[in-house]
Amino acid sequence: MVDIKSKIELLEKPVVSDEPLLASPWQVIVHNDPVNLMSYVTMVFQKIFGFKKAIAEKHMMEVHTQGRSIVWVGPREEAEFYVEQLHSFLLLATLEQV
Amino acid sequence: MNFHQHENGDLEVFEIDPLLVFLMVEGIRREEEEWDLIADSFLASPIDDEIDFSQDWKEYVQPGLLTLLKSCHAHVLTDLENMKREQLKNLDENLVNLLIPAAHREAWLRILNVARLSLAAHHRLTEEEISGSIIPDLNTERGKILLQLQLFSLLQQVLVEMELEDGR
Repeated sequence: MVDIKSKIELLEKPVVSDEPLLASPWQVIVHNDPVNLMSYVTMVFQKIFGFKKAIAEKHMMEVHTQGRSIVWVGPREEAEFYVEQLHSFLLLATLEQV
Repeated sequence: MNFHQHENGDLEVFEIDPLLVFLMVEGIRREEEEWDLIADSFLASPIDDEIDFSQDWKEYVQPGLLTLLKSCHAHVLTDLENMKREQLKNLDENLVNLLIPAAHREAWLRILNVARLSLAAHHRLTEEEISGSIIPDLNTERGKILLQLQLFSLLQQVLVEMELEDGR
């Protein structure tokens, strides 16, 4: 037999998440610093993000030629973690909301 | 100066000229007050226009990063101390050997980058000077600084290649 009373109670108590369903993502941007070796930057990208060498080099070249590269996009908390990791290798990194 | 990679991943840098030893030790040594400057210059908040976030970053994240870097620095200093100890045992030999254990490789990579960034900022090195294309004039102070930078770049390059090789 269907428990109508329980179903009505569920409908009257909706659960609302504190997080917006479609929060705008954040991007992690690495900025150029002429002191950093290109090979070092490539290595750091591979270590932190798990990029294959070709992808890491692509981002490194973007930093080198265009002054910056968006290396990751996603939730803010994760973005903050990645920026902290990049800073630990002395790479200049910032966060921007998309 | 020559390099030998041991099977266990340790890097031996051997036959280092005494001048390079001096420049290496001097360039890596840090006074306590320098770490605050390093934090402000290279570990600043990644978001400028959020005051609360920046304050939290300065209070919680930056000290954690500094602790990490100081720990790396301690490992590097240990290796340099071991080098000096070995040097004292072999005073009749002019050239010096340095062993960088595999477990300290990442520490060296970070600290060499700190050293290079600090040198460039403190002495306002130009992009041409940073590029390594200038042959340093060792009769000048600036020449010795450029040699120091090039030494750290070389060490860093070797360690990066070892790290990438291990990651494959």
